[in-house]
Amino acid sequence: MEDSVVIRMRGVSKSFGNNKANDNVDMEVRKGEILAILGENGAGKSTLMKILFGFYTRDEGTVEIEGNVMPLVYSPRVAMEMGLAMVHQHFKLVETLPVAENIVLGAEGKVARFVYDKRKTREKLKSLYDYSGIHLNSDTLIRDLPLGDRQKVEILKALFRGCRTLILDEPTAVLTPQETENMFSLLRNLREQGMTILIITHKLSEVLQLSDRVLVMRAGRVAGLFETSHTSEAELARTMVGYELGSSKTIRQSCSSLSPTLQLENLSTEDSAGCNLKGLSLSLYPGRIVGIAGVDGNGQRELVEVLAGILPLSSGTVLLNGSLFDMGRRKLAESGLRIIPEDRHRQGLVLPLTVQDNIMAGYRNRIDMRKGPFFDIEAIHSFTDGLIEDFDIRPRSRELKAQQMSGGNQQKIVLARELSESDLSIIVASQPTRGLDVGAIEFTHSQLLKHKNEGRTILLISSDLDEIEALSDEIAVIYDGKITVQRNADDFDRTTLGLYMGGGREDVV
Amino acid sequence: MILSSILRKDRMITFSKTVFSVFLALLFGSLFLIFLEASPLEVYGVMFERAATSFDLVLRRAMVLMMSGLAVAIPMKAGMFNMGGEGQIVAGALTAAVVGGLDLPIPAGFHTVFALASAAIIGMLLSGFSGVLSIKRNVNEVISTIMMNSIIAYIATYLVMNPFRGSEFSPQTAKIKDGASIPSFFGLDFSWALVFAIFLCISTYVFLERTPKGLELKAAGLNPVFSRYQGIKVGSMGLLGMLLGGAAAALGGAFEVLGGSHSYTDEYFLQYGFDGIAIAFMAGNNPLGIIVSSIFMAAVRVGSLAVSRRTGVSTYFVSILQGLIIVLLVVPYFSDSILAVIKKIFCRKKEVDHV
Ligand SMILES: Nc1ncnc2c1ncn2[C@@H]1O[C@H](COP(=O)(O)OP(=O)(O)OP(=O)(O)O)[C@@H](O)[C@H]1O
Ligand SMILES: [Mg+2]
Repeated sequence: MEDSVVIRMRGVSKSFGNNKANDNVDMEVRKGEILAILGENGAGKSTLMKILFGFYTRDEGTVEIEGNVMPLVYSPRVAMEMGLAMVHQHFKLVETLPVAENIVLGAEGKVARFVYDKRKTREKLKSLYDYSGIHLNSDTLIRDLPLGDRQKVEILKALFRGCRTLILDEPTAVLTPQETENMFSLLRNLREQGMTILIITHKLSEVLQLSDRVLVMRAGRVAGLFETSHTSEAELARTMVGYELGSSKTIRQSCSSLSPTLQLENLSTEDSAGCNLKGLSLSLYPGRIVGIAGVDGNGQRELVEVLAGILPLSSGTVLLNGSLFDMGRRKLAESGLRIIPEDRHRQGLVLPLTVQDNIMAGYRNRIDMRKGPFFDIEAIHSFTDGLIEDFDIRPRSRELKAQQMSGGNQQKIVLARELSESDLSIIVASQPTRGLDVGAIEFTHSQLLKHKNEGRTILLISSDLDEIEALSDEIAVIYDGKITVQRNADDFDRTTLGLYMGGGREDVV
Repeated sequence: MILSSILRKDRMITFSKTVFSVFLALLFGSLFLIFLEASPLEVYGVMFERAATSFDLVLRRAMVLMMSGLAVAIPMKAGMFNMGGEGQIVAGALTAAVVGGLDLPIPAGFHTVFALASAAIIGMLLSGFSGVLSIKRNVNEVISTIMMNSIIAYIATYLVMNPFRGSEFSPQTAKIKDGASIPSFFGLDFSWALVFAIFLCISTYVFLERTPKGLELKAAGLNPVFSRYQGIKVGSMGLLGMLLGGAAAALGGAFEVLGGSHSYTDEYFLQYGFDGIAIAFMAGNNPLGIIVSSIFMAAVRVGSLAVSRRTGVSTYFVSILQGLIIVLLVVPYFSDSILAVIKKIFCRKKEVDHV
């Protein structure tokens, strides 16, 4: 079996300052297998993959790719020449270029020798689309694509380079269940053709569904290696976090006797490059969670932007506690509305700023954080440290830049900022648990439920139907800029939900 | 407390990288010198000897350059590129000379303050104009500030030639009134304005790092989308940055007129504004770094005068040096790879941080 090992890492360590991100890690990957890598936020998964891909330089240890002993320092370009390709957790696409150019960027040599020919590229890509079963419009600009489609561009990019080993860092975090299903069958196909796949994910069910073996990491070390067929969700979760996990479910309550906190009536927009709202109506109630289900790109982002006061309405009215609210003049934020946006890198964080600055951005006007015109340094230190502790942000440092934190911990910074305001009354949570590990998801869900039980109004937008079903009192389906149905969560099953999400209607069912 | 944050590791890395780039630039510069058949050792020797012996002149020049650096750095933090320092300095200087030359029945110190305030207001009007155009009308501020430079330069020339001419023999204004001047620093060749300029650099640092508005300004500059979600007015912050930048540049010119030359001469401030861009760049837009980089730049400028006189190498050599420094800083890849090679040769040391 010896020669079937394509990647061998031995005793690999990597520190950032005092923080040991990888600590003496051993990993072997067999040819043609799907190896899942599992672990808490900050366990060192992305770091390990980036070392393998030549993105980071290891401090110690050896790396072999297809039998070649790799030098201490090598670049991603060298890794690519050895047949590796990596899809990063946070996309590395050029937003102002179209899909096609993003796919070929860096490997233009494959379509053209001297002069780049747009048309020829697009023809060439057609066969790639067919082969992968991923169909995208070559000419759409990346910045107009929903996150799910950006993910697909990343995968196409890797395939286009003709890799033999594919590294995927949380590829399903932004996909809908259907898209995930499609991607999995693509991955299985690729495996049939002899491709080796390394996949990082937080979703245990996906691990069991897809992988041949599972490597579990904890605090920078390998905590266990399992044959997928011989393990269970419970065992994996236990190895990962070190204790048994519960799971939060809401006790569903009816909204019918309540008067809504926030009523959106016939909202329409015109200025979005994506899917404009076309007469969207929605009601939110105190002490209730309304979940919005829908395929990405049907107006979810625009709805959030309207509530944030960024996207102007072309028509429609907003009622706050029964009285008309002038969206053109005032911001709902003044009335205690807080938003957890879907894209933490663009909307949720300022990456080059510290954890403390990112948190304080939400509390900059609070009197108790000030001393005259200045920040009260002591007050903001103890306040940020408190939140870092409460939300279990690791490492526990307010001085690190947001970009130095692992993906899941970045998400926790956003949560800590948005869920800790004392006058919080309405929470708009868009993909709040994207990229979180099972423990942190559990924590976030319990936070949302706590806020619900304290009487706050919650709007939950998620592409994870399990999440929607576990937390929502009412479910609304968004399709093409409209809410096509809103009613008790109990009244939906997966099939009807799926039908509505695809644009179907009751009368057709 | 401030000291500990200045000494943060990542800042030290930035600092040592800058020093390294400067060093590399001097090295490449010596290639040019050899090509010009001059001895690099001699040229650099003369340059720094002169800078050391007339250090008060260096500081006098550094004072203006500090303000000129702030004029770039503050707007940059807010996401705006103020290339108009050149014109704003001239406008500030001329305003201070004219206002300082008025016969005003006010006590001495107040006259100075009045002249400085008028200069600052003119500077803000100029940079604010470009700021508003950019925010409201989407006119690129880089272009509008550059074009303003020429407009202001010609207007200033006209003004010192005609209405405000104070000397028969040269295009300059009349001497300012004694009551408007800034006193010299213990009889040395620079004024108390230097202390004030350093104070303003420190204040800017405190503003950016320790106040809510400073945080808003930085956030708006680094991530406008995020800022909108947090209810930060991105446009206003950009405008605020431009206003502060314009005021800084104008004050720089006014400081020199009130504390140094005591009148405004046409073309006196050539290059000061553009040096500010290099200075801000070298400092990574950190206001405290600007204090250091402006002193360095001033030393090179002052030293270069002696170089051209004693070795025959043109003062333009300084522009080449400046260009090299900037290129090396803007293209970190280059100096990074040289650093990596050096690291490989000397030690197999651990790398600290990937940012
Ligand atoms: N560029 C960096 N600079 C400093 N520290 C870093 C950097 N990148 C990662 N770290 C630290 O290394 C540790 C491991 O991070 P890594 O990104 O590998 O985690 P992960 O397992 O991928 O987590 P997640 O599931 O949240 O994505 C974290 O504590 C993180 O803060
Ligand atoms: Mg990660």
